Amino acid sequence: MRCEKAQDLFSDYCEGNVQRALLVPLEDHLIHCTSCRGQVDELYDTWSMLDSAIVVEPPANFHASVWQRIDEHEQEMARRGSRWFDMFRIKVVPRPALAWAASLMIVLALAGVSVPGRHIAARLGIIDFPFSQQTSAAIEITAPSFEGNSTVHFTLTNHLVETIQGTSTVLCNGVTINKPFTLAPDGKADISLSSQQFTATSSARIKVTWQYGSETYSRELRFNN
Amino acid sequence: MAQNAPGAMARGHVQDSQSREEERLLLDRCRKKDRAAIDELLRRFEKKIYNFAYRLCGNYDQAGDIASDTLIRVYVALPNFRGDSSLITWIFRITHNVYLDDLKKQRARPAESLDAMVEMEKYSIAKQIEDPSPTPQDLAESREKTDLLQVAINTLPEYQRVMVVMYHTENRTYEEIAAVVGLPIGTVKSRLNRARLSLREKLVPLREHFQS
Repeated sequence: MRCEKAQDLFSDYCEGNVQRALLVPLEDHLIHCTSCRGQVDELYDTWSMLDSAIVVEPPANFHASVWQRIDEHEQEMARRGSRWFDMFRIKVVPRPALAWAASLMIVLALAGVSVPGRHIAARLGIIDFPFSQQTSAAIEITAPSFEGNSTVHFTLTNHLVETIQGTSTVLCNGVTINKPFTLAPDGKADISLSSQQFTATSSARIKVTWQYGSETYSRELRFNN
Repeated sequence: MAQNAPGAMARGHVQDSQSREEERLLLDRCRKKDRAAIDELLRRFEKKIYNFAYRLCGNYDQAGDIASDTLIRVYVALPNFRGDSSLITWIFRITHNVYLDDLKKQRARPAESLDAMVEMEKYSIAKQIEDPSPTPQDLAESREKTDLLQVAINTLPEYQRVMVVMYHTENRTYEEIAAVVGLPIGTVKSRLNRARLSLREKLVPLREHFQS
């Protein structure tokens, strides 16, 4: 057996997992090759040192501090639960009149010729996340609008306790534009996506895809100009 | 010779049907917000999570933050756990994700970047290796032995570190590691091989400090 082949087997050898057909030639090689024998001895020592790691203990107050965070989380969820929407569906929610008017003024001021449409907000939930009385909506889209008829603008808000990464996509008049986002807990991201193809359209779709744990979630929202 | 192989030990967590059923009942109670059950779940896993987090990040305070964030995320996502993997594998996967999130935040703050910490720790292990006569009393302390080992582990790239930690300090199987990092078993094995060879260079000069 050559050194290269022997070295490929060193880890398996340390685990005692070398196939019988290879074990005899490997051990024969180790008897005659001082370099490889030295390397195996060193790998044995490394392995033993790694396995000797002692278990480190969390701080004395760790358990209590986790409970405190759980209780704070529950209180926050209860507070939000009273005003959160059905987590399994996207709902179209008219904004309060005053806010709608303010938004209208801002859009007009910024866009000049803008034709602000029906303003909607939606909370996008995670499927199969059934808290009984509480919602687990992850991302909220606030008041998507056309600005100047060529730019779609909306704000994403993260309602989870961890950072979310994802991509927002606007689909309009056969054009698809993507924009990635990263949202810290309670963080907001203003998204503006522009295309001349958006002009003179009456509706668009916003698709939001995000990662949560090892899963990918996606929700789509239609809105009218 | 192979019979004395240091890696020839039972790995992973083999559950019998009774303990699986007990775990399922415990999770059901947790989903119903039974505080006694949640408390039991926390006590069962908090030490493991903290230890895993410490081995990943190499810092006691940061390990506390990662472990705490992990347990909150486990608590929130528990209704989502379908049992496709074992509970401990799922929890380790969450811990690893929280650690990666933490890493991204650190990289966004250059002054406190992990790269800088690793560089610093590379320097400190270099000093250890160069030092011909470290104080025996200091090195005999188990905490310091742990730190010495951790400094070496910290010099590994993140993708190798998680595998070394899971295999050697958490005693997980290749299958469990593959499930946590989402890679094929063959990739896990080859990355672990490279990591061990890299650690060999750093730890072998220190082996006298590990002899009890």
